[in-house]
Amino acid sequence: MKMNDYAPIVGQSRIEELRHLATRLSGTVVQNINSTATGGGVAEILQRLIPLLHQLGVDARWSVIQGDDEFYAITKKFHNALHGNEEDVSEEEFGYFLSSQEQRFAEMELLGDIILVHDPQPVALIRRKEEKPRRWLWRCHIDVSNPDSRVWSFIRDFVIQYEAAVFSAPSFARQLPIPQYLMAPSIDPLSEKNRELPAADVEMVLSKYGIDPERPIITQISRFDRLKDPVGVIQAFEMVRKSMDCQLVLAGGGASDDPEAEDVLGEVRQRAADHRDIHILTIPTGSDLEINALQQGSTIVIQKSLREGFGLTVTEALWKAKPVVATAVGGIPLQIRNRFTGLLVHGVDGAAFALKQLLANPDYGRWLGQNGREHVRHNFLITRHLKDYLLVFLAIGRTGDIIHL
Amino acid sequence: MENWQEFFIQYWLEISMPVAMLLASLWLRATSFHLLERWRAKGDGEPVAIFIASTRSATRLWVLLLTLFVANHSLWVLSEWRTFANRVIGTIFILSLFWISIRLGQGLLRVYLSKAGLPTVMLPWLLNLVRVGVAFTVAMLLLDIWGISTTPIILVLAVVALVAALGLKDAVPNLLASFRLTSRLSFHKGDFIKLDTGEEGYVTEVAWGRTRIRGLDNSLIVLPNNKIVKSVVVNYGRPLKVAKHPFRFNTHHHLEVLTGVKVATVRELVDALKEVPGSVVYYHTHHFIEEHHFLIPEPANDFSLWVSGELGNRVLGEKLASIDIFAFPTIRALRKRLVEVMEEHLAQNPDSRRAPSGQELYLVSVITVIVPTPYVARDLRGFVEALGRVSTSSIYFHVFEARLRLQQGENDFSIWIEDSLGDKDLAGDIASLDPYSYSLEGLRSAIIRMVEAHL
Repeated sequence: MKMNDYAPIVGQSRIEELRHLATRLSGTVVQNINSTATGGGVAEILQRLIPLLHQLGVDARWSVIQGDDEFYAITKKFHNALHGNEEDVSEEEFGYFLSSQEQRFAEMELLGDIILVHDPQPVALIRRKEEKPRRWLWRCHIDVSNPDSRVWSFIRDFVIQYEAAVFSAPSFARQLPIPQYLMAPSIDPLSEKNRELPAADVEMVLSKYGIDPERPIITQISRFDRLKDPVGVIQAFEMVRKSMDCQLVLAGGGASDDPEAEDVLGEVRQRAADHRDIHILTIPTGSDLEINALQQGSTIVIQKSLREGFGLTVTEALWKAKPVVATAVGGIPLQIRNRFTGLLVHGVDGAAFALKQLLANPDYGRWLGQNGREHVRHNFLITRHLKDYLLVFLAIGRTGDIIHL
Repeated sequence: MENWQEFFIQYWLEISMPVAMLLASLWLRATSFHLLERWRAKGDGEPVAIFIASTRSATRLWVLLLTLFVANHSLWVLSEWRTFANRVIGTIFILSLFWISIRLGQGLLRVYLSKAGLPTVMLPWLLNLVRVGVAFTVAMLLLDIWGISTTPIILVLAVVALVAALGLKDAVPNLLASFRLTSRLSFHKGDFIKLDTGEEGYVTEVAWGRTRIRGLDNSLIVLPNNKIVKSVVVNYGRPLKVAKHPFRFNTHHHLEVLTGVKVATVRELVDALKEVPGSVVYYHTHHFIEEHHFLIPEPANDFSLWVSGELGNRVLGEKLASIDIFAFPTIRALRKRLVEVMEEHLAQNPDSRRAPSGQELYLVSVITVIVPTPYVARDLRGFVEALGRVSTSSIYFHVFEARLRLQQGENDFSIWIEDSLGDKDLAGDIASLDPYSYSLEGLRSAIIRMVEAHL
């Protein structure tokens, strides 16, 4: 994508602002370091952001640490533990993590004036801080608000050596002795998952899955995970369906590589029984066009998670100007101002009530949807994400809460 | 001596003819200048004066040439030199005519251009045109006098003219447009103009072929006159009072900083508010203005929304929402009022409601990064035009940030209008606008309306 392709969406002045900020970073090398070049949210973000930073004239680099299977098995445990899941991490595993850093990462070439380390895997690179004066930033993409205390304590010792940390939502952060910046994730409005589709394409996908485009469609897009409460969504739908004509679509990734997801999918299918208006769809990973079509073809999008990260599926639905009913968890309240850009709920009854309100008042739904789209346009598109990166790079090392450029 | 007498007796008629011509032409010249002087004295004599000044000395030469010409033809003894003498006399006459035409043309053009109100920029062009035209005619006449054929030269010149016309096909419309533009000139140097094609700025030069204007972002725009003639041009007139100091529009970006502090009850909120930096209070009472500037009406401040939404305390939520932020000149005063309202409420309604886990209020601070824009205003016209073009972030910065965050106590626009333009009334009108009652676009429109009405 070219920077100017975003001008019709966010306005030329926003693009000019980005260019102007980027000129202040002329001559500065920014090196991103993470643990994988493909797959995973961080790699996806970097694949999109780095080329755009280049177009703005920022010398952004991307390096990937190379660990062995054992290293990644340990960091997977760290990841789960930081998310609040119980993980048994042994002293040997902590030791292996440290020795891996020493053996493998000591050779990594540090090129940047600013080193941006993503997530816990490469966090110990900070031990090379003394080699040369550089700015060190830790970008945390995961929710560490409720972590396993032992793992967090281990990681925290490294984190506090950075000059600043960056989190995706206020609720993800912890109190730290270093500055913590907020950088919400974003969606790319020109991507396959978010670009506007012709009506015929949407109808084709709906038809493929046997969904009636003439009747209201309520959709939840998420993997089949108990934390996404698909059964709760069915319960809410059944309450609504008693008095209103509508269909429910639950669409998510296939269950082949995740035994737990397979169990959940089984429960969901059992709960849905043979209800002809409930469509359980297992869509292969990477079917962005189909996900896009399902969202665009929906009347209402629901996200009834019990726990959530930032909730980018909500962002995607808002961008498509759909009225969204979502639980007030994780990053969702950042995106939905209740009754202004969507409806926030706390349980099945609340969700059913909100769905009925929207089905009965389509004008209200359209108003919410338009507000939601504008909210995303101004706050959660990739251009804002770029701006945040530039601002963090410019702010790091400066004091005071007013900066004159 | 006898030879001379015989000569005069024999040729008295041939000799008397040039003498008579000399005397007659001297009398005619003197009479003519006498009448011209009287004409000049009667009325608008500037063109006559120019004519007199240009021709006085040349006419003496013409009298002499006329006498010589008659003598050359009447005295047969000179017949072998007659043709040569005629050519010399004719050459001198043509050259003097050239000199007079130039002087006369220059003087008269200056007078008539001035009277017609046309720009003096036309003068050198027209003078050069006259000079070239006269010089060409003179050259052709001289060649003819000396017996050289002018036909090939005219043919060559015609071809050159044709080639030049083709080469200048783009310039010619501009020149023609310049004639049209200057003949019905609707703007002058210093005026602020706006074309329906979008270009706008102060006219800095009206020249042949193009007009230069200086845009609001200080850029120099060169407009072909051909384009101006085809456009609808709005002329806002001559510059208004020029400010002592130009107004540079800035914009800003916010970088949100997490404090790591979260509160779950009103009491915790009150206690935290007493301790946190002012930028936290500023953030939670202002960020919705920019984040939701497209919403009408905008949602209330974060404290109100959280207290009513997550704690279910609608009474306190309403009290917090109705705090008139505009009434507080500093963040300290605003913080004090927020704390007072919550403490008063707690004193009368001990409230132990606690936000569920995950629904706490996370306190956020903010870093403001101030960036200059290219837009600069030097008077009210420039100000209102630039205000219509800057981003809403710029308007937010000069109205909200300047007043509370930069602790100026007043918005930047009012300060500039009063200090640099000395217009206290307009400054006061803008200062009295409650910006919290408007969306950012609404605020832009309201200020533009005020300034336009003032203009």
